[in-house]
Amino acid sequence: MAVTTLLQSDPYLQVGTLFQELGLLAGTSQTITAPKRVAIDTVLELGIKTEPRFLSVLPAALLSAPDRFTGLKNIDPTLQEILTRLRDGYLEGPALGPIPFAELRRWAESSLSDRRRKPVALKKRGKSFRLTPRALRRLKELSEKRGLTETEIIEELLQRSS
Amino acid sequence: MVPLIQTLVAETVSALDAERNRRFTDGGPALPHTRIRLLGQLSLFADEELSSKLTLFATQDCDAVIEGDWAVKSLFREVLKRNNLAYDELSNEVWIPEETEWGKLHESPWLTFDYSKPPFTILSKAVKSPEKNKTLIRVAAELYGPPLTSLLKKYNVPEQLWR
Repeated sequence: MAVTTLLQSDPYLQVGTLFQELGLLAGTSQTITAPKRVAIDTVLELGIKTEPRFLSVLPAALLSAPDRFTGLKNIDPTLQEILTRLRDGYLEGPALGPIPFAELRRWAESSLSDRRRKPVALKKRGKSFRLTPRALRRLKELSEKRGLTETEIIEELLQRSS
Repeated sequence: MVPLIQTLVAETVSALDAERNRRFTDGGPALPHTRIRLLGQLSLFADEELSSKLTLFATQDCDAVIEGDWAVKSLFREVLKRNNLAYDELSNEVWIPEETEWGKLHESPWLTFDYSKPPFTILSKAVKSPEKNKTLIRVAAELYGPPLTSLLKKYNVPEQLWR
């Protein structure tokens, strides 16, 4: 088999065009239509054997568009740990094959051209607090004074303390 | 040339023209000649022959060496951003083999925009990041034959990577 066919196989083209549609990769082909879903195992296999860029953006894609993948219930344990750590905002974690965690995090936090989906770093998650009336009043005052939401005030204070 | 590269070139030419006109109108210093050299995976996209034979993918990083006014880098960054790409600030650290031949994307008295031809981009990848690019190296060795494989030998790239 000619080695060039590795970069022309159907699974390779399908996975690549899916990432292209999500805005995580650029591609030379504009004519191939992305499939609705691809299997995570197929992406992992192609990423290890053929195109490591697929591994670089896989966690980002799984976090922002899980509905485009099959095999979420039997996910590889290392990949699961990577997803959990990315979702929880950790700075360090395991590598995915030859791709270090820092690079996986970079793509997971980068903006997506598909504006219907948000990168993991911008996805908001709920958390409730019980604050004293004084703290609540102060939060409201700061929010009005600065023209920011109360959430943005808390996020800014946390940012400054790190 | 794939549409993405066509757009990058057209928008860069247009941004530089606008900057030249702005400076002329404001009486500011003229924009000196700019040379942009596209490197890395996106330089492979720029090659008509290769991009017609293979379907390639690249991350959002764009490697390019920019010689010119400081403002050009900022304009180029903006062009990339509009196209869902990001300028790799470590571009100057990309190894460019001395044998590199350049393909022309745009040539005018104030802008030369060119790209590293595929065998030399592949050679750079094979020397600096062989594991990450092993399939691409094998495919390119098959496509380009001795003009590439003699360089791979010269730079001691292990034969099992490209045979």
